[in-house]
Amino acid sequence: MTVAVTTPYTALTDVVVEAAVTSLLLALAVQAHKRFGTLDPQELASLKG
Amino acid sequence: MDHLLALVVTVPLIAAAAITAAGPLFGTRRQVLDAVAIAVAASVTVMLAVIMVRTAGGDEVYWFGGFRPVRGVAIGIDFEAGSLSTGLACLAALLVTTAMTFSWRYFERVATHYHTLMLTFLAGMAGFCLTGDVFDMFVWFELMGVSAYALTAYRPEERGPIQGALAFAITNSVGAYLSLSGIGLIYGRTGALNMAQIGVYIDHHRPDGLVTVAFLLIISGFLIKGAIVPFHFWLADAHAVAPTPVCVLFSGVMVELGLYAIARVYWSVFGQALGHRAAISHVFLALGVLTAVVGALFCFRERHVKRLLAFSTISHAGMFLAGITLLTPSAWPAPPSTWPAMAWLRRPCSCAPGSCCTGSARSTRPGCTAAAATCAPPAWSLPWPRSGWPISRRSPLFSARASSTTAPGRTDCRGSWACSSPALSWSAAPCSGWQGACSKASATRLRRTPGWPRWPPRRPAKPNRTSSIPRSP
Repeated sequence: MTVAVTTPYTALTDVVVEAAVTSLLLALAVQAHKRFGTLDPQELASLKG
Repeated sequence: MDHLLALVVTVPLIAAAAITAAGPLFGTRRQVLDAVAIAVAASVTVMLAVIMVRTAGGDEVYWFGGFRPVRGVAIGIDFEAGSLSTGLACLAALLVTTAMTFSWRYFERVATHYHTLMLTFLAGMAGFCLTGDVFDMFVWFELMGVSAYALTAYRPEERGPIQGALAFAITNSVGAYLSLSGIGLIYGRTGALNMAQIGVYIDHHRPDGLVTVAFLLIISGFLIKGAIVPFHFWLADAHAVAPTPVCVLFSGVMVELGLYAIARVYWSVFGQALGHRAAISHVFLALGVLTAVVGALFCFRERHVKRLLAFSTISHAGMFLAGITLLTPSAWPAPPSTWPAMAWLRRPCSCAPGSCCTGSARSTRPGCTAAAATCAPPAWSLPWPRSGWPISRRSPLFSARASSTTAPGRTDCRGSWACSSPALSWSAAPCSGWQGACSKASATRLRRTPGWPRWPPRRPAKPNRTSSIPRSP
């Protein structure tokens, strides 16, 4: 019973949270493509220790 | 407890929204914007300090919307204020206040969204510390993460921040998904999301393989947030490129919150009912020791000051994990009692490079790394005013049920971790020495680097009156 009541709210909250995270990741990917000209992880090498 | 606990997260969130909405009104009056954001962060600090004083006599639970549990079944979301959770939230708020004060001079020009993100970050950290619901913990984890990713990429016109933020965001998002999978499994098995209710269910039913897998998934996500080897590499990348006031929060409190979540979930939700405690203890201790050693090694070989500090943070996180593992549940707040010391010593270390040349490699004061490396005294020697945990099982709404129906010996787990592996326990001592030696050596090596500024700076020599300066006739 508890599972049935709270599942929709949990799922909705999760959708909202993940939408925010995914949009930010997408924005970062767009910026990376602008700066590096590629999205190949091997080519993103501006940071070296 | 009135509504003060709710205000701790609603005030910064509302202020962040208001700052964003009223951003065009501020225009060139940046001082007003800074003053408002600092005032909000300071007010949250004061509220948390008041709550900390109030909860000195006992833990408090606040149910949002008045949705209290009925017959042991929780539908609403609660905040549980104990000495440790409130203290950590207060430390986070204090660090945000000081970081924003520092950023007043750090940034020549600052956009409105910087203040918005810092206040959202603060709300995420405070909610993460205080929540008593495991799914709510995931939501605060993500809110904290989103703000941190955006703050890392605060200068999107440069390549480094984009790459660091991308590594940070992807790694932590994978951790969040792992935690979410574990939460889904535990929710399907127990039908509950409240940590106390899950704990009571697991105490009453023999945990099976599904519960064990859920535990591993949830803990994996928090291990990534805690920068424990082999999930540590994101911290150095993010730390090296983030603005210095943000680095203060990363090293000062965000990484430690991952370790806090590990201890809380283990003792509050799974506890001794999970079984395999000796194996779990060994794994955590090995991870902690490995993290301390690897972090110290990378700290020694690093030449970029901010990355060096990041590896020092990783090394300390390993020591904290080993300390948490070696202690009993009633004594585990001892390692977190060293976190304020580390946070306050890390703060000037991080700010020194930034105040000179906004984070480039060679402008901090030599010696500060050594101070950071030796700031944490042995965790087990520090007292803590109260045993703070596990708070959920002692909450007023669940303690009666838990104590009345739990089998003897299942909730009383004192001494179990400390006695499980004396040989491994002793391995933490040389590990601590190794970590301190590597950090000290790295600071010494940096000081001897050609071109490194001397500290304290030499005073200019006084002019010699007897020198052969030609006098005017």
